[in-house]
Amino acid sequence: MASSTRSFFGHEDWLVILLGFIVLVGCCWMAAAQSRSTDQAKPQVVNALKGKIAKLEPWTSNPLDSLALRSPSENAPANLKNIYSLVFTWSVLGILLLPIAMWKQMRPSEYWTGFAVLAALGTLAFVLASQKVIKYYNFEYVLWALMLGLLISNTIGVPRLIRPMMIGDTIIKIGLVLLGAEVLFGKLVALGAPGILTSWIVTPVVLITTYWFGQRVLKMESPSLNMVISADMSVCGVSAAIATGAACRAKREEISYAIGISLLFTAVMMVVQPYFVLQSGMDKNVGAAWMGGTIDSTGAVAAAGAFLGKEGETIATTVKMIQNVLIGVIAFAVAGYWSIRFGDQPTGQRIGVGEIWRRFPKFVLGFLAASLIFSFLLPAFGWSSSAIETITKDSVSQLRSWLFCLAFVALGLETSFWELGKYLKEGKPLALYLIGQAWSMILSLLMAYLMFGWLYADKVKEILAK
Amino acid sequence: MTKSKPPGWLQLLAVGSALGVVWLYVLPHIAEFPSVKEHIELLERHNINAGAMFYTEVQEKR
Repeated sequence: MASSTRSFFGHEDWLVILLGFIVLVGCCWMAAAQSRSTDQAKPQVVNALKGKIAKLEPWTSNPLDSLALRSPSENAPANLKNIYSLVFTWSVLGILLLPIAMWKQMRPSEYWTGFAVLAALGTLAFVLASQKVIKYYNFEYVLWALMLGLLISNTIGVPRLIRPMMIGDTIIKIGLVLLGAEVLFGKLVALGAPGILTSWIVTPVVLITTYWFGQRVLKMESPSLNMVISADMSVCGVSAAIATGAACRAKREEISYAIGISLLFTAVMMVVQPYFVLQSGMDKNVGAAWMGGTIDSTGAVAAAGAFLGKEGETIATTVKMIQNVLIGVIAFAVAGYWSIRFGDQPTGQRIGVGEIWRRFPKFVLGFLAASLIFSFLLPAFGWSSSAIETITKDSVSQLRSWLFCLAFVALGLETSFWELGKYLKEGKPLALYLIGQAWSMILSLLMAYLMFGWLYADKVKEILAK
Repeated sequence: MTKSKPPGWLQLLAVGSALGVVWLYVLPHIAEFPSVKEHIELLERHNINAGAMFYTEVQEKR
């Protein structure tokens, strides 16, 4: 069975795309649009998966609060909804990853033991990330998943039985195909021209110039680390680091380093930047667009925007959302550039289309296809935006989070502190991040002033008033 | 002369205990600092998930 699966797919990425699309089709099927109201013109969309994928609650001092076991009334039995969701989520993931285990010719004992370890550590990572101080200062679950994996591998080591299950790279790719469904091009028009121009001009300019600076001026040893840091800093933080890291086949330590540095600075910027906007007397719409364009992480942008009021929150999150959509184009471009530029033949030798295709990471096609299907094909077949929204927000996004979490536990289990320490000792990656971020802040501020403070100032107010 | 490293399980126990102290004692206390409390309450009022990785996760479900 295993060998026949291997010969059919030929390349692991095709299996990854197939599994990603099985999840997407399943989520669409479970979110059938049904008319629940008497008003046939506005049928309510019912997503059968809503609330079924485990999502832990924020907690302050008791980690068990993350499971929300307490019932509203004292005499009622404990609320086990989150326990059922956890069991359901583990089951879905366990079945989903089974074909990968067959592809990699794992024994059932290796797969199920390895999966149990990943699921347990992944759940613990989500519990750690749900602590309110951690959560509301944007230290995302991937950081804790990575940390728990690193802790085990660098103390007691990874038991031989579960080593075959260290397939973080593969799990990430399935998660990225799901992420494609969340990249909806329709979101581009949310703020009209000022939003698109602010996000889609500054971001690629910062990405390309920072990468160029890293290669030519700082002379970074690893182009892939340079690209991951540049994308992480200029596009949308962790998700961009994961997508471009997979597209340019960056080492796991490189992705881990870029994520760590980004989360650290994001926690500072999400507090300092709104404070600066308020104290400097800057126009709040300009300040919000500036924060949307520069703060790495999407959640941190929303948090920082909230300090500027409702309009500030709307502008900041919408600019960031438009930037999020860029991730698909960037991942595709990076995968294409890497396939042409970095290979095994001598520098300067021309390569053919066949060679480019051989090198191209095929999962990126699944990522892009999912984005195009959810952006254009489903709406063309009559799927409403609310139906697509409930599929992406209430099921796809949550399954993708779990996949990323398990993947980062596995990456942590495969990484040694010594390998990661090499990057911490070197000053160049940190310098690249800081210089790139400063450059991004200057360009974003100029563009935010131009679009939100001058050219389209009235139009933005008009859009917000609606 | 080389120093011998403590056994792995002891290292795991030490780091695990340190994590327990941080998450169960230090962070709950930090959550009570007025500026931190204000920050958390504002985001809870606005239903914002500050730990969101992508825009689809930003709005908390209530």
